[in-house]
Amino acid sequence: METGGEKLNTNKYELKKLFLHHKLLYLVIGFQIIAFILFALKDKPINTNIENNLEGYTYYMNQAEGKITKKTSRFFDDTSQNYEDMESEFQTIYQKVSDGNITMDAYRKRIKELKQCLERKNGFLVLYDQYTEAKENKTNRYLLNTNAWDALLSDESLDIPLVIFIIIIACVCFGVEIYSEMDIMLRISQKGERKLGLFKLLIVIMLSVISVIFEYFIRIAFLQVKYGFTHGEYPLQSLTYFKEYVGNVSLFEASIGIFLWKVLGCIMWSVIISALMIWFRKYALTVIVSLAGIILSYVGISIAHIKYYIPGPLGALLGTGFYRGNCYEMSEYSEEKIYSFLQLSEKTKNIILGIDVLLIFILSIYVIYKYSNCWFSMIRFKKKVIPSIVIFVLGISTMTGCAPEDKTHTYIFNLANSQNYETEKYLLYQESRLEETNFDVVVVKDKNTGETTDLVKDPYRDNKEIVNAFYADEQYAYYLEKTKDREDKYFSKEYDEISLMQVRLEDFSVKKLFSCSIKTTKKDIFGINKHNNENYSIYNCLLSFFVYENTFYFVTSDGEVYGVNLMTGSRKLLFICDKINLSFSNGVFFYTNTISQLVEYKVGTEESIVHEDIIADEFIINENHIVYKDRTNNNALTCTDFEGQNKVVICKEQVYFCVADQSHIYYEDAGKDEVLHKVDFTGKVSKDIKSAIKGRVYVFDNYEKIIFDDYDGGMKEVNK
Amino acid sequence: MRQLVYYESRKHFLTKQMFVMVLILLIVNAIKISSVFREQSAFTDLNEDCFREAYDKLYKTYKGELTDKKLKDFMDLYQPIKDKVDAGAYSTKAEKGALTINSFSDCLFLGRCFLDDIEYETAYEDYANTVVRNAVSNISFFKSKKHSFEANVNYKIAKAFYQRKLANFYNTDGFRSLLYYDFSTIIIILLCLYGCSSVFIKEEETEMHLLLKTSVKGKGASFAAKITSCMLFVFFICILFSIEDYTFFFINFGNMDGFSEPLYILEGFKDTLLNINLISFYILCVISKLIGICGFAFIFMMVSLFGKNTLSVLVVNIVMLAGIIGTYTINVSTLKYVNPLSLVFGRKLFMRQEFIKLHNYPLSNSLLPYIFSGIIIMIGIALMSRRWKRGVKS
Repeated sequence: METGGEKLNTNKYELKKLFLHHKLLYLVIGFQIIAFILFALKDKPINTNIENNLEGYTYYMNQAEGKITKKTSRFFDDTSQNYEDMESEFQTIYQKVSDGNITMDAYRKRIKELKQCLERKNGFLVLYDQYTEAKENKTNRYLLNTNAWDALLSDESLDIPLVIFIIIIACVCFGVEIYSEMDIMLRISQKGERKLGLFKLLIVIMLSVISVIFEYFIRIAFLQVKYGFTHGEYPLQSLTYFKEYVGNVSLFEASIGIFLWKVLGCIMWSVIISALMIWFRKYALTVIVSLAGIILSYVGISIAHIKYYIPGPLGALLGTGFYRGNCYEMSEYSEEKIYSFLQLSEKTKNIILGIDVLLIFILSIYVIYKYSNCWFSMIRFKKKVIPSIVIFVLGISTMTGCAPEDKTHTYIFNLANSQNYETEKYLLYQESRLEETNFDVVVVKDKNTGETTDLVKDPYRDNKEIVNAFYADEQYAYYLEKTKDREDKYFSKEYDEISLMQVRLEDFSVKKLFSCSIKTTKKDIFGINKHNNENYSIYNCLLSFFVYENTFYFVTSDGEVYGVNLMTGSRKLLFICDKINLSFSNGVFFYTNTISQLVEYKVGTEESIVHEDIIADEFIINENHIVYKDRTNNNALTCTDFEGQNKVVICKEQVYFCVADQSHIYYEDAGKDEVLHKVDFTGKVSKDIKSAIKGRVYVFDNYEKIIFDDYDGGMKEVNK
Repeated sequence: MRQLVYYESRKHFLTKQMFVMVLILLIVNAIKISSVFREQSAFTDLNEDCFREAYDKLYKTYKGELTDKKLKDFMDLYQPIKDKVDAGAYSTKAEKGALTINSFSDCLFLGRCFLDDIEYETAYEDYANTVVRNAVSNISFFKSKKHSFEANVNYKIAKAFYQRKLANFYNTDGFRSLLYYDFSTIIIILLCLYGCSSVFIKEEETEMHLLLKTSVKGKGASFAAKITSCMLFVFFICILFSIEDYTFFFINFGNMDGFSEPLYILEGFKDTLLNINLISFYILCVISKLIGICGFAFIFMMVSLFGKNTLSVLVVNIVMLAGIIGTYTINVSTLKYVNPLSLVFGRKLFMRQEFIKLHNYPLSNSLLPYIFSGIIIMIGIALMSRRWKRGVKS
């Protein structure tokens, strides 16, 4: 007797079997968690400049966002003019204070306003870059904060966890009964046969679609929290990745479109796997054939747009190529364009969509047809096996082996004096060797015996570029080198890798602490997924560096200060200093902000303390003192201690340079040249060293001579 | 024993599905090689016929030993064109007396296809002498500091670079692309995954493993036969795809003339310490790939022995493979040497060699992965034989 209730029961039993017995429920939840963790770990903002200057950027974006009209152009021109005026006013205001032309109250008020405005300047510059790019096509490119949309859309990478997850689901759903040969039992049952096949297929499709939907929504929620989506109605061409697209599509519509393509890809992939499983009747063959098909086509197809022309799951799962425009470069010798991506026309997209739907239809018919009670295979005696899906995450512990612990010692680093260092036994300084190379060479001098030798003893050093910066502390000296691996012979002629080398000063043995790739575009391991490498612009502008407590801190010529953890290799932007002058002492950075006030920045807690009374662009620090050129006093050389007391003016005239050791300050003033004045920290003149001192001067704490670079005859020494 | 190996191979590897898969993947590999040729040859964007014709004509004159006369001829040909281009007196239309289209394209073509290589080869001898000089001065410095390990390292470097010279000019594009080609590696790993995952699990699934273990040659010989058949399969696949790579690169690039030139004729290997020629280095890379894939095969086989079900074994193997590839991309150098993937990409080990200290004797870092793969293989065999001989499990 057939009643309506029986149909419901078989389906319910099927669901219970899959979710509880075969533990698919745990798999679904586990997959969501793993996919989210992988996405969150790999997510980096596409445009880091926006993140670094968020406050200034949003302040101006709120006034300028949207379509570029005459009003916005005028706004940008006015603001640039405004900033130019402010810069020139800022240059002269300290002169006015030194001359006494302005009252202190007016000065304080004006300086507060200037500071607030100048702090937003970097954000405005980032927005201005975006504006110049959008100006090329005013109808389509609007201005908005693109980081959230970029992270969601501008990425062409195959979601491999999703692919493997769908393979597992389809295999479990169809394959378990095939292996235990119980599918024959099911196929000849009353409510089995085609309806059961259809139901199984529907379960697989629904599970994959639900997983994709959940994964997409979790991703959107994560990005909303991290960046914030705004203005979905702006056109798609506002994003850099899609800027050449010809067509009328908004950001919101594009994201829905890409999502729908992904859903279609999932459905196609699940139907293909089910069909393969029913055809082959073996796990290994199904898994390997499907995996090989999708991965080899993903890695192997190097012309980007062909992946989308072939109708199949790969193009649909990737999705973003359907909304990209033509990308080309001009050839070097003729005026032809070389296309790296061709836009797909609407007609092509519809054709591909049609073929995909047809494919799904045909394969589903095949699955349902084969899942019938006609005998296609021989009966084999196989015992029922209870499958259990074991997924365990591989944990590999990283080996330690980096720089050992540093002793407790007052570390002082001054950017202005970063060309000479002293250890217990050695002096290290830079000397120019114009007859050998055009670069400066770091020389190590033994204090007792006086013999000198080069720091860099690598026999291959002619094939590498040694960066013009070094650092030394009690046991080790550090230098940076750039190497090439020349894989791409004809089309790239740049350095590929930068490495930090550590030299043990006892025996001059060398160890590589850290290396990273500085190509302009970086590819993943098998040559897929090319994207712009931001390391290129960061490490190529490196000015100076030091190493403290297993972290590698460096300054670029744009004023950005980064800290790299030598154990994990992760890099973090600490702060941006506009004037490139920096000092560091025992975990605290000293730099000047936009209005030349001295700021202390503590590395661990990231708190900043502003010294409003120390206004200087150039300064050096010592264990107890700060020596600086006071801008409110006509750039006079002043010395004070860290609490701001005991302020002493050392020299009222202009000073060329000054260096300091533990007990004295040495400076050369602009008037009489070739005389080095030696004063102590209270301003009392100790000695005048008259010698033909030109060029660089190196002063060391525990060495009784001063080494200076006489450009004619090499390094000479004179008593302190 | 031979018959046992044959039966095991027939059971797992000599099946119809495997043949069809290997055939399809061979064809896919050939298609990919032709696309690599189109991307990485010197004529990727110089794709008009006149460039190829001019190249063939000039190459016949300049190939072989770089005599002074040839250098002078080449500079006589190149210098006037370069002067003309530098002076700015060129047009983008076709010119009559030009080798290819016009002076600008001539300059580009000659520079890219001939000048860069000739300059590199003539400058190499000076570079090698500089390295020897630096290393020799380091030897005396380290001996004075009584640091014999560094002195030994520099002695090795000086000995390797002594009197190195590049005398012949050949077109090495084919070899360079061949040595940097990785697509067939993915294919080999996938085939290995397919083959090795099912070696032990087939009997487990049908519960025939009880019957097998209690047979006459069950305990020792059939176990050895399984492993031997798997190793033979891996060897066969690796060598098949390596021969196919070489053949198709030969067909596509046209000539592999420089096969007897030393390894440092390729710019990426300027600092290598090996003094062997290109074809021997390719064979060395193939052998490293073989050992690396054997390491992978043992890992897959171990998982298949401890698993209960083909699907779980496959999934665990895939996740483990993804994990190994993921950890390879992390830039911690000590971790890289343990990974069998660094053998699979064998060329990266020999570009620049570093040394670790072993009682004042320098051991090259490139030997470490071999040792580790050997250890993986030995541990694998030990664990698997213990598990196999454990007796009948209910």
